Amino acid sequence: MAATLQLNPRVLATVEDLSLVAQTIVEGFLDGLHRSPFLGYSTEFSTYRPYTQGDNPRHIDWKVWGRSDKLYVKQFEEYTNLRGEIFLDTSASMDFGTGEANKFDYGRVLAAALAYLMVRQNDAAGLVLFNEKSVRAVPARAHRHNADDIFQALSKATAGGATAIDSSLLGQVQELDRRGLAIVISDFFAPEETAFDLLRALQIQRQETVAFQILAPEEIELGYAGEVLFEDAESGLQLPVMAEAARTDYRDRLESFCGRLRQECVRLEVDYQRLRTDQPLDYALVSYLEHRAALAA
Amino acid sequence: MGPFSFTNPAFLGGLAALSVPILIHLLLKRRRLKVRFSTLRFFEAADQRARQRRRLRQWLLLALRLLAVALLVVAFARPFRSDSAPGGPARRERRVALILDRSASLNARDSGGPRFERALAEARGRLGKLEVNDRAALIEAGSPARVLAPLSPPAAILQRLVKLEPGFGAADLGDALRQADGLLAGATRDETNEVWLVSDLQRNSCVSVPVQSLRRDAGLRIYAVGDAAAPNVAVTELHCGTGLGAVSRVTLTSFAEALIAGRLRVRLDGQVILDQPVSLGPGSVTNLPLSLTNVAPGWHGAEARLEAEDSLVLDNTRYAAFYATAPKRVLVLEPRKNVRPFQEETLFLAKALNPAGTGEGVANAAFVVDKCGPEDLASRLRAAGGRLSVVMLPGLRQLPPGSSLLLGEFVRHGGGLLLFVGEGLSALEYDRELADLLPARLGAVDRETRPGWRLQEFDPGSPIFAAFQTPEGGNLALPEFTRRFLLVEEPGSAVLARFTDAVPAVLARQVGHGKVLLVNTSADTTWSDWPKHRSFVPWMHGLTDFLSSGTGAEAKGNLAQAGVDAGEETELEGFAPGRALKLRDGTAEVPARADAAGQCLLPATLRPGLWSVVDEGGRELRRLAVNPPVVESDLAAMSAQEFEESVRRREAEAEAGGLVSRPGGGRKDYSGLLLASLLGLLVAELALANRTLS
Repeated sequence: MAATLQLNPRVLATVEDLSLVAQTIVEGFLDGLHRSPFLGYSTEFSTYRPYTQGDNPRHIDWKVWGRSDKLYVKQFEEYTNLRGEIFLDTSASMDFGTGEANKFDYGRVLAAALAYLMVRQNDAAGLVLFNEKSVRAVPARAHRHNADDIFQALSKATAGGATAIDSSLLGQVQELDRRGLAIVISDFFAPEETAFDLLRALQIQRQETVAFQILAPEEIELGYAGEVLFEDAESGLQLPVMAEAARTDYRDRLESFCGRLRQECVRLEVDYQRLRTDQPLDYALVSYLEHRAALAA
Repeated sequence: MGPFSFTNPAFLGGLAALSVPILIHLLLKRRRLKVRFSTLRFFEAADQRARQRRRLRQWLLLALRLLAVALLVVAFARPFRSDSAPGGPARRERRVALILDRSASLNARDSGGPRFERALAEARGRLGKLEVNDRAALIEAGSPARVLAPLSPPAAILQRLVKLEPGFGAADLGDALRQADGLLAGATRDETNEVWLVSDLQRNSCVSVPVQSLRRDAGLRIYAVGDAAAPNVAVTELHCGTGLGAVSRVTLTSFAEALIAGRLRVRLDGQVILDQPVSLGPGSVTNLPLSLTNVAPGWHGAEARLEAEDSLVLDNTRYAAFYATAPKRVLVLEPRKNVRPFQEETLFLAKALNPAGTGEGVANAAFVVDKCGPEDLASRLRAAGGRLSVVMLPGLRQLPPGSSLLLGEFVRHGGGLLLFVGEGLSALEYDRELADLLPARLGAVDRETRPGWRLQEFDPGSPIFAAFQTPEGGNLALPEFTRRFLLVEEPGSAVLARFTDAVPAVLARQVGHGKVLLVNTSADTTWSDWPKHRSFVPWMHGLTDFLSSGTGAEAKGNLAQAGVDAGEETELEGFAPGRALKLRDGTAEVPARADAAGQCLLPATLRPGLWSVVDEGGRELRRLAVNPPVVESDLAAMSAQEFEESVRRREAEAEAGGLVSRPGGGRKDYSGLLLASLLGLLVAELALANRTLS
């Protein structure tokens, strides 16, 4: 995998125009996927590209070969009915992380990039924002301007409130009556592990699901010193903690939780990706493309 | 074993330092970072235990630190227990060195009454509590301190206090501590050493306290008398200048923090010469000029008395004694006749000695200048009859007939002769007629076009150049000389100054009891511009004094101002060896005697006032002003705590029968054990503080 994201999402997150951010990330990402077979084929001619081993010989433009003695294959804009639904966690726990790319900003950029990628491939992209209540911010439509709606919705979204995987959100899931792709972007810090219910519901609805767990480096490493008074972002509860003394137990518990989440994902055949906010978005985009390819097949 | 006692109980005050660890504990408790975190679900169980352990550790650390500070403080206080068996004689005999401040400041009157009475009452009260077997010594804190009574039964010291009165001098509490320290050496194991200080702790008395050291086993008890704020004003200087241009003044100083009004009267020989109201601001120094006119030659006494409401009356009066010298008579020979005064050749000489004019009737003049023509010189010399001090001759074309013999006789009998050279002077005649007087033989006239010669070196030890020892005295290198005589020095003469090319400029010769001074230039400005320079006048005064010193005329310049501080032994000089003397001040008479060197030792007990030193026949030889030391006027005092902190402590030397050197004797010191425990505590604290809780 030679793909690398050239632009840092932290920097991009400072750009207010999410469409520009998403476009920059995706185009840069696709440039990195040089001659990759991930791009689909459709009936509408799009452009030429040099032939590579593995390309279907049916797509070779023999006229060009006749003129230039070089092999080019035609690329076509793909027509698809694939539906991709992005579930973005907007609870207060996502509004964490120092620096310019906290978890929520990172999630928004990821959602925007995925939405752009979907629309670019003529998939029907939709957006559901959930915290204490869930909102279908943008219904999934296979329209080339749908990405703009998603960008606007993401731009207006703010983080706050508690995470609630309840009937409101599950109702949104039940509306997914077709097989499609579901992308959940969250830290999954829902009470009593109800976040698993969301994954189960998606699996029941026959959705090819990708779970992106967004974590900030500070909450993974707990790199504080001395006595720290932690305040729960969602409940407001305060807890004085000796950081050095609590670090080991904290990490164990966090990893244990992530482990259970991973196991549940394996059991539900959900692709689980843990993302740090200081990492590039490559893994997330590649994971999306792999699942999209699987669905297309 | 007896009960616990402390060698340095004052150190127990350091227990206040226990508040430091508590404050640190409280401050650290409040310093914690507040962070808004995504979720607390991964903390709770783990941190609850850590918090409990940490809280326990913090309390343990606080307890350890408090214990460490307490151990350190108690160790410094040197706890000990007597070896005496229970039921045995628990009390140890006390050896007390009582330092009683009798300085002039103890004459002050405070809100509670006279300061010295309070000091005596304090001393009596403390001594009265001593047991019969205890011993006490009495030290007077003078300058220097004196042991009034060695270690004696308390009753004897009480008796010694009965007739004590405050003194008039300064106190040196540091020296008093040194004396007390020496008295308390050699205590046995059944004795305790104590130093009691009864004083007003005036700051000026405590200057030398940090220099001295007191044995550590001596307890120091301070009984401070006197108000914290005692307003005081004083006459701090009374200066009576004699002679032309001298300044006389009285200086009033306020040591109060508020305005004090009063009235100042100054008397000279009993006559009021100044009487005026004064108003002295806080901390102010006021100089008031005095006018002394027509002061007759001889000894005089002045008294400045300030009537004001303040704490210390003693320093409101100051005395001054001074000797007014009689003016010296100088005869100046003026060769030019029928000329206007400013054309006279000796104009500059006469004006330099007395610018007010010539003859009698010039008030406070140092010199009386007379002028005469060459033809009158002989008659003036004959008529002088020993009253004439100096004769000054400008360069004469011709010496008056017979004058050389008269001048020689005048000089040999102690007179002073000043000779200038000049235009038309006959070197041959001078060398022949004044051969017995001239310090050098005159040669040819030497001329130099401008720039001329200048004075390059002069004898700094000569009295004629004494005025030029100070930077303000003038610059002798500025005068320029264009003509002079080439000279051949006579044996026995001394060159006091030379020109830049080493030719003598000023020469002196002792002839009989008198002196002759030859100045190798003219008396006017024809051969040099020296008379126009500011150095001319002081030089003329110096050389006239020099020339007149052999005449037996008044030679008491070093006694002109005579004053000493009360309370100090002072030596007066200039008396006949072994001469019996008396000191009188009008009411009292103190016998004295000059030693083999002619010095008379004045006792420290002289009270402030004007004293006369008289011989056996009652003739006044000199007068003396005795005043309280100025430092006693500033009543600013230390606090007892401040004083105690300034006293350096030292371990008592190993001494026979002493407390420290006695092997295993007397008492058991626990400070070592405490310090060892402290070390253990610190190690435990270190281990606990650096332990990381999981």
